[in-house]
Amino acid sequence: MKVPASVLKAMAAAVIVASVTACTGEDIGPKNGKKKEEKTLASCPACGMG
Amino acid sequence: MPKVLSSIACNLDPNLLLAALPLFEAERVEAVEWSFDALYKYPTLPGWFEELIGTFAENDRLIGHGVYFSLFAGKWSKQQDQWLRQLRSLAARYPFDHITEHFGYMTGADFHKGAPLGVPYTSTTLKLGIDRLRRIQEAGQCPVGLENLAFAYSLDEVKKHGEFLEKLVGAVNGFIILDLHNLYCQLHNFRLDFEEVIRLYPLERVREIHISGGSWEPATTDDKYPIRRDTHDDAVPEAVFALLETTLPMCPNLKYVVMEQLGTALDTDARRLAFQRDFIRMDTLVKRLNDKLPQPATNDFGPLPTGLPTTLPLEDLSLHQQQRELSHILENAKSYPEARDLLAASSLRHSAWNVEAWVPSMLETARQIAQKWKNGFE
Repeated sequence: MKVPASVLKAMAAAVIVASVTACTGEDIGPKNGKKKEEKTLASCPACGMG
Repeated sequence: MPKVLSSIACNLDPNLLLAALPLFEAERVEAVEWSFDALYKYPTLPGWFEELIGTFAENDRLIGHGVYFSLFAGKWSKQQDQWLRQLRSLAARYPFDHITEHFGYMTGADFHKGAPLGVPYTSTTLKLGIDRLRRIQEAGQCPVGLENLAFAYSLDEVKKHGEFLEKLVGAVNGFIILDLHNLYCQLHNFRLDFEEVIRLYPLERVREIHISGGSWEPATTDDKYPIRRDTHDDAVPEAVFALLETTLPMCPNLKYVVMEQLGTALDTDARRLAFQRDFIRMDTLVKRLNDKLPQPATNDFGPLPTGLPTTLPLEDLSLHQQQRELSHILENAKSYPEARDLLAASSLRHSAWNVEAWVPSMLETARQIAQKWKNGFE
């Protein structure tokens, strides 16, 4: 399915930045000016709990 | 629109999104499955992620997959109330084509900790499960389904799983997710043939199929037989692709085939490339087999008009007590013999749980799973 190019561009920028700066504790969450509760965005467990 | 949609489990995870990005750019991803309750640590979503989810929702191609509801918890919790409120709010914003959860109850004392493990197949747990499914259906205003569990304590449990799922979802005109890696785990762990097990599942109730990878756990009991676990941390095995090829034409109401993998397992370029190759292989197979399914589907799994719950949530406090006791044993026993002895002296002894029939290697696996997830996803 086609996803708007603007969404993919923003997504690419966010995940590439996150992958480069993961060791610095930054994340790809929204920027709201407040200190984040979590240092990095946790990988989602989804249902891989076995 | 193709009958069966090739989909990915898409969550706010940098490695997963990095792996999926080329697939989105190539317009290969036909639907996304979002574990909407896994973002509890984040009060808001990035705008681009909202737009991504919204784009699929607008095209009726967003499906929700809950992780933490703990469907069979004997005691109703305020967190389950909150979970339903969150679902109601999200469903109003991003209409889901359907919502699913996992079979079982969560071992953790806290809502976002623990792992799903099975419950006895009794009239009590059946009523409890139907009550919860109706509440999810009402909150989501869409079809509701349950995923088959990878883990089982005994062969008898494996053989009765499909029948019990049919009774549960049948009461609400719901459907099942047939997770083929979960099935693969059971085939291996209980030395079963595919043909022997698949006929025990209500395949006309399958609206979604999952494929994923997992891991081998060396045997630590006298059994000496490695255990297959559904850890979602590796590529899709050949055996699971073979199961997909065989099973897909057997499911007349199938709509989604979803590939799942954890972002923690997609931390290198090589692993992300393998993820993309697996997806393209899955998509190619789905498109080849699409024509073999009847058109149109015979059941849209729409909510029944009389299905809305009007009373307080059902509870079974003795089941709750047994679940807490079992969780405590599994989370704290230092070895299989200790877990076995504690169970033999517990209130689960000679009960519907049938702990006397539990396979030693599976009890040990349950102990390891419970201890792995005791503190949540850290």
